[in-house]
Amino acid sequence: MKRFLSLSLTLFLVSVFSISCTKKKNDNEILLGSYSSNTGATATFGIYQMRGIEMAIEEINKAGGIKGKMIKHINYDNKSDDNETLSVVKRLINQDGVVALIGEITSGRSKIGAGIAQENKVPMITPSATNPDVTKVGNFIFRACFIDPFQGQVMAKFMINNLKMKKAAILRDVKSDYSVGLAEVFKAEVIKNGGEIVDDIAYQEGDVDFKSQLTSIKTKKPDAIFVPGYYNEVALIAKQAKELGMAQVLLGGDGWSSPKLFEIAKEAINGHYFSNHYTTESTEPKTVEFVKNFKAKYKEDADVMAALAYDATYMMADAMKTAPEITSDNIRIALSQIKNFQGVTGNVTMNENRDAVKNAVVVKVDGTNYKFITSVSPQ
Amino acid sequence: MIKKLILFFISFVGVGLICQFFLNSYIQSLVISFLVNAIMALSLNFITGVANQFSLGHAGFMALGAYTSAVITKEFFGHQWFMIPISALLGGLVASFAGYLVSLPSFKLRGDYLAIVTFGFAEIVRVVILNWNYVGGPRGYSSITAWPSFTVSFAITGIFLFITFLVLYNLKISWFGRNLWAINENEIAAEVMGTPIAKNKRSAFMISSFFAGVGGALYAHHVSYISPATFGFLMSVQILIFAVFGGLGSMSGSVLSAMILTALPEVLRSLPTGGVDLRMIIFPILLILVMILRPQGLMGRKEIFEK
Amino acid sequence: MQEFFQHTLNGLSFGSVYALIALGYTMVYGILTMINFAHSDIYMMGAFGTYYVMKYLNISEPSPINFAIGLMAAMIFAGFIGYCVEKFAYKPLRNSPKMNVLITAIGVSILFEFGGQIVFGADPKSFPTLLNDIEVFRINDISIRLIDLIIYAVTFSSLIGLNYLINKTQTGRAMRAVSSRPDMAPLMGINTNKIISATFITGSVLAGIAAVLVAMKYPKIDPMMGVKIGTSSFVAAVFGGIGSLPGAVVGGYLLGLGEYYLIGYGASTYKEALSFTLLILVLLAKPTGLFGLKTKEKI
Repeated sequence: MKRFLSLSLTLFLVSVFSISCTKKKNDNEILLGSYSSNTGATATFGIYQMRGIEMAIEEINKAGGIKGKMIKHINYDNKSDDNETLSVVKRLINQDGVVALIGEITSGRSKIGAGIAQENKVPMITPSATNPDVTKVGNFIFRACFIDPFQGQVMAKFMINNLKMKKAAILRDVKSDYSVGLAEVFKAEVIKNGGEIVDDIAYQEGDVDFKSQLTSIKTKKPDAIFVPGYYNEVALIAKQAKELGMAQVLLGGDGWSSPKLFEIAKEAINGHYFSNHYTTESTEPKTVEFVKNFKAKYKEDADVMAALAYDATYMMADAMKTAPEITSDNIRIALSQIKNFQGVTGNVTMNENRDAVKNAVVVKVDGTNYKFITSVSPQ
Repeated sequence: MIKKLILFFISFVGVGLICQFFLNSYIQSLVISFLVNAIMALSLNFITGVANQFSLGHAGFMALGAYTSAVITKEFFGHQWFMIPISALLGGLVASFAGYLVSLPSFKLRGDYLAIVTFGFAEIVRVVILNWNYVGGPRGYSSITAWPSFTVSFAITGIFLFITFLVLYNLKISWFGRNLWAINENEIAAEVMGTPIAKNKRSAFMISSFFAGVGGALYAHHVSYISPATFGFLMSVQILIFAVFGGLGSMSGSVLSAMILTALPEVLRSLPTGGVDLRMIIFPILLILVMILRPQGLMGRKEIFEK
Repeated sequence: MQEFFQHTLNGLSFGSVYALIALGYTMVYGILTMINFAHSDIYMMGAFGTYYVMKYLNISEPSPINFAIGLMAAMIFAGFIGYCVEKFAYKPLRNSPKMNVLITAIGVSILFEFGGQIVFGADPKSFPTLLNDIEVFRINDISIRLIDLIIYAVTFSSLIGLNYLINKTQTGRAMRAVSSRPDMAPLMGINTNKIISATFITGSVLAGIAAVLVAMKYPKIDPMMGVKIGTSSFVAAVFGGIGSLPGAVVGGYLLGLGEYYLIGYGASTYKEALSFTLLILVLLAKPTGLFGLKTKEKI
């Protein structure tokens, strides 16, 4: 009985595998793959990334597709897990035969995906991974956002030159390489420009109480506090800083950018600054359209992850249009030649490292609005 | 027995050849995942199924083996793939030492408490790695030495699985395994009979964690990027599900269950589920159902080749 | 010195939360000798229950009445979920080995976490302000706020209330009977099923209350909110002596203080390691925890 059971199970599996091996290729479709963390620890960001891509593809297909062919979007959830990422990217490339990839949110998982994409010579663009190492994996890997070194510099310079403050404390999310990367660059840049870092404390993504860290910072009396984390924690940090009676201004990066920031922190977050890709005050028709359509389609406000993913998808689509033939290598070449791409998150040009060269804007939070303060362009 | 072994070995090689030539890289990767999962499940099965010491912290041993092996191969063995088996064994040794440490308080602790202590241990390991910048801290450790090809990976990982299975199975049916079972059934009676309880428990832990470490090392070289987040509680639970589903106490059950449960999510992925992966819904439901309806899992304590 | 005082206050404040949740763990363990891994997720469900009820009723103004409604919603929702979990997942395993129940509890916990992500959405939601967190009084530069005081009050009254329930009421006596001799209790005329359900519901209701209080203080809720806090509370319960009510409270406060001193004095990233290291040390010295009772194993 047991032997029969196990034998039949094995047969079942073998047949499953052999069936899933043969995939019919539809020549009228362009297979575009994406992998995101739709469940698990970074699900909040992954879902927005997926939505940004979905919406973009829907619009592109409605407008006639690329050279007459429709884009077929295949998205797999990697559950915020590294091993899963390996699995799904391999599946997208080898099993589903996608011609290009979009992903991922975190630099860590983007690196894993990039490794496989590069090995299989499939172009990949990450919408939001900011660690410089990701594009270093190879010439098939691209990025739609600015990198940590740039963003960290932006806020450091803003503090010293615009706010005219010299003493800063850093409150970093030790679990996120994005946060750590930004913190390190900010630190170096502040010191280089004659400032002083009076305290450098960490918290972890998922924490809800930051009073201890804030109390410690309070005693060191900085002028400003750099909080390069994600909005889930930043909102609570701002609230608790206010409760502790701290008057320091808070500075941050694009991880702040979400409608939930104000929703959770309420007035506590007003008056603080962060660097972002766009401002809500933007009258750029593309941005306005995007925000409106996203809200209509998903009944929720778009955040920076969705906007970046949307732009990354359009960049991919543009590359496909410019490419003489839709093959992986041609797309790679077209991507590397992107100049002055006008996206929702700004004007993008691809540099020789395959990183996006685009302006950062420093905005001030005022309720659900991000008020434009200044724009910084990379040298 | 020898005839069965040879037959098994031949079919194993056969499967390997089929995979190499007929299946794509994605499925090849799944096969290796299955092999690694099987090693992990076997190691947990030995301590929790055979010795009945509930370990909720196997991810910790795996992490130790993974990091040790990854760092050694890359930094000290010159990034050469043929040193991987050696560094895997070293990883296993480090994990085994940790297993020894964990077993020290286990003597005094009953089932539930032991589970908590092992869980705590895995968390401590994870937090220490998270803070250790040499191995990357929260950014993880990347560019781990990879195998040159599927065949090599399959062969060597397969051999490790083979050895793991043989060793653990033979231990199970040996006097050592019987001792463990006796302790399992009635600890006081076993003590009265003269079984050295502490020593046996300790050895069981060390053996189990050794193989967990080896499994972790092979995992690291398979995915070429590891981070503390990989080795959290969810990983321990996943291995537990593999072991329980196959049957606690059945070695072949673990291998079988690893095969089915590694393939299952991939099969499910083809189903339309609106963008979310239901694996973490289906696995726990499966676990609950198994516990309620068929707690002995697929095989119970029996092996697939036993009557 | 000021800083130390602030850290102490923070630690006590968070420790209260741990204590409240630990009471739930300890109660279930004390009566049923099972670790309800899903307790932290029932906690999470309580918070979401209130969130959705408030949303549905369109309430967003802070007022004592809304606070009471919110609390009720969490208590009812959490209690109900606790009852269902016990009935469908744990009851069939009443006579099974401990390990099986533990494994099932883990399964339930994960199911709630990931199921919650799918059903509620994985993104954090902003919890409505049910009460204005006003500063009640100020010592030097340190402010003592209303919600903290409420949390302290609730924790202590829960401790006193539970103690009274278990030691001075008929139901409590029945609970103790089920705890010490589950096989004999029915012979004494005790409806074991009812008592077990009652225990679970009580523990879950406590979790629900804790959830609302925490959500008011840190107004961000998401399906994974129970994980970290649950683990720490659980450690506090075991460390204080699982099965002992005062142990849970003491454990909760000690752990809260310990963690906050650790964070305040620079090693915040080792926070989780701290709770477990403390736990292992305590268990080595006293295997049943600080206030735990030594049980003699009968042959």
